[in-house]
Amino acid sequence: MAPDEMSATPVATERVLVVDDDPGIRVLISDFLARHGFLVETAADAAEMDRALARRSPDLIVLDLMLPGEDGLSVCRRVGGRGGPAIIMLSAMGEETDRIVGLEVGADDYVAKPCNPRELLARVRAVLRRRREAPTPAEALGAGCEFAGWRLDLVRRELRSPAGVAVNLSSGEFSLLRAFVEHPQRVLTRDQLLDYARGPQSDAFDRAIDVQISRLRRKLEDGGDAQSLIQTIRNEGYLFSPRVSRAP
Amino acid sequence: MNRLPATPLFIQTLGLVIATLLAAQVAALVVILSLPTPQPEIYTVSDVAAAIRHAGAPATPEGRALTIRVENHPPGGGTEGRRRLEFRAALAAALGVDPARLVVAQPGLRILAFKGGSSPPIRSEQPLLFGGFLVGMERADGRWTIIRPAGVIGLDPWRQRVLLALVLAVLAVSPLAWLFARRLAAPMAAFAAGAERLGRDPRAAPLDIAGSPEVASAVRSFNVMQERLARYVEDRTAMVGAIAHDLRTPLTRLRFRIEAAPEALRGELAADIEEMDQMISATLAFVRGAARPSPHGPVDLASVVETVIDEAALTGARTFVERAERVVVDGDTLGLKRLFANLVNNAVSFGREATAKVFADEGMAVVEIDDAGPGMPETEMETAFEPFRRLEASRSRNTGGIGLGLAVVRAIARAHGGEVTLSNRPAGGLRARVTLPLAL
Repeated sequence: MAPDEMSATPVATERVLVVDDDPGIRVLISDFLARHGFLVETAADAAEMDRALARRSPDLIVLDLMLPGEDGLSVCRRVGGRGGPAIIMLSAMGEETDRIVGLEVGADDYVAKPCNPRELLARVRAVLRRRREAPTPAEALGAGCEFAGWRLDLVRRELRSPAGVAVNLSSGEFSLLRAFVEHPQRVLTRDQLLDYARGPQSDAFDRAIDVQISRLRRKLEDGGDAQSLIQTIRNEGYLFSPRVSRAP
Repeated sequence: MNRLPATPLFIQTLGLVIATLLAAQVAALVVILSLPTPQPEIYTVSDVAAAIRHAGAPATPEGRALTIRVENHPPGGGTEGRRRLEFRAALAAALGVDPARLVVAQPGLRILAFKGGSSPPIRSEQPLLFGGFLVGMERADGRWTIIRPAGVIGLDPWRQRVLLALVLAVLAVSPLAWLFARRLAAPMAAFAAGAERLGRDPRAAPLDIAGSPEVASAVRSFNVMQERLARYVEDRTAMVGAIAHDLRTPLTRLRFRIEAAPEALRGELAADIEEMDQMISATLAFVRGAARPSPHGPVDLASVVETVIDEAALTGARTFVERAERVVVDGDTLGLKRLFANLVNNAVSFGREATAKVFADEGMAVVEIDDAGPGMPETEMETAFEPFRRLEASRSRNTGGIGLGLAVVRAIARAHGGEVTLSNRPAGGLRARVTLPLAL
């Protein structure tokens, strides 16, 4: 493959550990990642992974969910989290609920098999980038937050109204709302919003931002008046007015 | 009553029948023994004489009345027999008239002479008449005064008392019988309700119904059956899950291997892999829809439909929301999203565009997804929901899929206590209408 295709900026050799019980997949993924500048080790199961971890802790683990012996979820619960390596869960189950379970036990991201290799590469890079940067407000918020009686679950991507009714958000709307709750009570320009909202988990954010804002307002039952949650600041952008607190 | 649940249904029923029979017999016995002996209808000479003298009908001690009428002819069946002759003589003496002017007749001859050793119920110095009789006395004008016992209206008093006693006995036994019958029937009703619940939700808790050994054994068998069914569904789900997993592993390898293929070939192969993966996803969604419990809670239905429509529009499909009322249903967001995504996908694939309406109607939340396609023959509207069913139009147009979309839609709708129907719109195009119960 032509190296320029990925527009790869070679990162000072970051270490990735690929844990999968299928030898073919182990070799293919590690070759692919190695071609894009990563130092890759492999392990066939949890025990082998522990030995690799003992030798040297990687920056990131690509972890198959279904492993012989100790399964991926349990491994993730054990080695994931703040101090440990970043974890990208790789699973053949590929259901939305599996994704949520994976993220809830501490995985940084979740990729469904059969995955597009370039998508996996993009996710690996994004997760590593997020880890490198100082903890973002998103991480400060943890799994969820509250504002004006509303609750936003950042893992389940679920919004609940003050009455407790689940309000479904498209991925674009969710990314936008996340950008707002991470930067509350501050005027955000359209460009800033676009930057913040185009996180690694936002796949679809092509629509004009104003359309997304109006959809979001409708779902937040927001009239767009003076008491509005999302206020329009003339010639500047938008301001998310409520106080945002970390969910208990 | 605590011992009752352990008693077999057979014994309980037998006991109920025998106990009822006994109770009825006892009630009858009590009535027979406790009521006064019914008095024969006895009329003395003085009764009849007084009636004639006063031209009225004085009540006799037994409450029987006599009526007086004037007729042109004497009563038929003239005086014969010793008793009647004695009675006539005594009556003539009492009234002071010629016995020839009197006629004593008993048409429905019920007269019984008290002979010999038989003891009469009433001892009397004067001759008596029993039962129905007619006494005629010739008047001065040649017509006849006729005296007879007043006909009893309805039942005799003693018959009335017996009836009343029997009705009271039935009333007294009824509550007991009702309780008994209910005890017998209640486990059956609970059983039926439980079976209904399990039919809707195979993961419902096993039945726990106290009752007779027969009911208990039926409940046990039923619970075992449910367990087997649940295990069967679980096995099937696990098997399909395993197949999906095993299929996706080589697909993943393929996906990485084709990275080395020429660009043109890679695109086509990737599309094939994508299609196979879609089939696996659809199959997984179908078996999981039937097997997996999902978290339930209040969901803003319009927000789900709007999201589905928006996300479809992002892929370039012509999808619109025409009406979005805020209706809240109790459900699982992901399941509902899949339901409407399948319908919108069908509408876009077969009907060019999808127009969604969300509203409340008659206590139900309604979502209608309309398309602008050719519609569907009425005969295929029911079979369209069957798993692995693909309409000819779909096969020939090679629209992909393996015929699980609508099956999944219906499974999810029913799991939410709702229903989905298809209809052809008068204006053209197909309408899918989903109704779900509103959250309380």
